[in-house]
Amino acid sequence: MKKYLQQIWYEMRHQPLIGIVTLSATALAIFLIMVVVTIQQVKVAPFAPEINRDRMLSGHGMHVKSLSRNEDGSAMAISPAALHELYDSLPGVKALSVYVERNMENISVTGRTSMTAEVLDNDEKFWDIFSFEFIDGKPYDKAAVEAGMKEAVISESVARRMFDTDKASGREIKIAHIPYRVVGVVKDVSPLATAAYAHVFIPYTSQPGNTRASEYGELFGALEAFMLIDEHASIPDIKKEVERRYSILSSRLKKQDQEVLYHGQPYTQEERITSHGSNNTPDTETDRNLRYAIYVILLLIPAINLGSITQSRLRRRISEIGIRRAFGCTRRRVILDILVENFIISLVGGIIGLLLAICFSYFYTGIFSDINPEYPTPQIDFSMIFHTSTFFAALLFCFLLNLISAGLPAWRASRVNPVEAINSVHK
Amino acid sequence: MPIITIEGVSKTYRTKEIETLALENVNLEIQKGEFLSIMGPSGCGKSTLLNIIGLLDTPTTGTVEINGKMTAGMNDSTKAHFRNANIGFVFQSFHLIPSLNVFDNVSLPLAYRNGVSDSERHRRVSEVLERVGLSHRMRHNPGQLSGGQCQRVAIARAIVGNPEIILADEPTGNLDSKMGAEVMNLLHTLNKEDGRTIIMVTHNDAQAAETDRIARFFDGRQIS
Ligand SMILES: Nc1ncnc2c1ncn2[C@@H]1O[C@H](COP(=O)(O)OP(=O)(O)OP(=O)(O)O)[C@@H](O)[C@H]1O
Ligand SMILES: [Mg+2]
Repeated sequence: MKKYLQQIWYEMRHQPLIGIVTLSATALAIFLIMVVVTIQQVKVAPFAPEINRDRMLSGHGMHVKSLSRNEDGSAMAISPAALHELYDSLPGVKALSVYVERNMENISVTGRTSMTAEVLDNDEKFWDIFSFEFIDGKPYDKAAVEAGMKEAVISESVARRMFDTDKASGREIKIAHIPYRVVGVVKDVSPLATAAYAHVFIPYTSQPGNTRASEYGELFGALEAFMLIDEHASIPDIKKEVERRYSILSSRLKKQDQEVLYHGQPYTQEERITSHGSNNTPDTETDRNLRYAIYVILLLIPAINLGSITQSRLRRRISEIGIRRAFGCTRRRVILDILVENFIISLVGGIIGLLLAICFSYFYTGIFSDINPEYPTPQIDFSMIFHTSTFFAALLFCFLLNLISAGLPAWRASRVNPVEAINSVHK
Repeated sequence: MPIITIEGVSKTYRTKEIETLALENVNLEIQKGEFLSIMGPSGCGKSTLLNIIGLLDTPTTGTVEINGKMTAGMNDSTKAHFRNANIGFVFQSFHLIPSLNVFDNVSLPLAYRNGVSDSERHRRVSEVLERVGLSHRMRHNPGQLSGGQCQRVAIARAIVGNPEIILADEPTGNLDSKMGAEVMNLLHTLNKEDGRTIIMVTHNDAQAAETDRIARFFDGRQIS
């Protein structure tokens, strides 16, 4: 290790410009790649309250189509009956939570100017799947949900706005002009937590419309579902079972001249974030390939430049390489030493690039704006953008960058005839 | 028994325009513990022969046997280990590595040998530096040394791995006569005290006369 550092230090002192160019090119490359990685991680990696993203599945609307008429069909959320038929007691599913798509509602308190806020209708299981931090009170329980109690959990900012305090439990708040009792106050949630985000949470049973089937048929309604699965549960098995249940529903719809099309539900976090409506299958593969293509481009371009810098650095050391070989250094060792030495430089550049990427994502949150485009992008906290996997991703990209940029020059240096190498004068 | 047997060695260099016959049918036996001088005009193939003996180059035809081993057909890693164990090089222009200090330059061959502990390496490097009289320069960089000192460091590097054979290509060519004499004394010591086999290319008749035998070359052929 010491000898690599010595060599690097020696070169840095004797050719500071080359050193600086190498470091900045590496830092820039890793910076750009890590910004892309970070955006993706904010979409799929766990952070509070969505700490179970890895183990969460979600069931959304059904795609219904007429059998006889040639039409695209439409997507509709589902009725309580259909939801239970599709998602109850699936193998490997630990918790099933029912919810209704977020709505903007009028929020008011006597003697205060009213406000509008995002309201999420859900059930008590929601608080198990997501990890909210309660500042005051507690969530509504199973009994409250079953009874359709008008209880609400509100966010810290709504509490402060309406009550000037975050200790708002027990107070009355009107949601869409219907009085509710506040039972808990939670820390604000970032809109980047696309599943858990809302300002006000209420039992879905407290709104009569939610529990009814719609006029389109007994299977359709207002509900969707989040599921928490066991650590070792097989997602394909769960999907297979849901697909089977879909086909049962579909065959029952035949007499109404309708069918439901299965699009791979329930979705993983990655599928959920790439899905566009319930009437097509999320194409995570295309997304992933696009991302890989970006990584490749972001690696290749700097790698080519770095490669030529490495090449010229090594040309200066060709005599040294010849001498080392005269004293017993193998070709393989020549390559290995060059790669290790270069990797150390890449690592330093990579760490700079990673730090830049983290700072950039922290201060320029605009890069996340299309994750949840309906809302202004909020303040980020580090738990969202820095994970252990972020570090390992950066490490991997440094390694690849090093391999691509130094691999060929190192190989060529190892092939030079030792006699010619020793006698080459390059100053 | 000879330590080195060279049989029918020829070497042809081919470049785009010309073909140079650098060595032509060389047959030479070198005995264990012998101090051999190789002499001849510039371009007669002396360095080429030394490089072939040192496994840095391969003959176009002919065979070289060192320590009972045929060197033809060895792969890169076998050659590297063979060089490391058996051969120490001393070059005309020293060829110390500028980014390494004296200690690290000398310990270079040990870096390519398995199972040499730090303390062992330290002991051996100190020992050979002592022999060449440069213990006090261990932490200096090559740039801070005189030519004669550089060549003594290079000799220390050549013997630190305790090879039987030392190949020296005009070791005093870049030194004034006083420093040249010091280097020659050192080589004679290594030959007499340690019994190392030394093959030295030289243009200096007086130096050659002090060695056991002189092989003279002309135009790629050994003439005496
Ligand atoms: N790599 C090479 N490519 C082509 N020709 C070469 C190469 N190396 C050596 N030669 C030629 O081979 C011949 C012998 O060269 P060599 O270096 O062995 O001579 P030398 O006896 O060591 O000379 P000097 O006393 O000048 O060092 C010369 O004509 C030289 O030009
Ligand atoms: Mg020569």
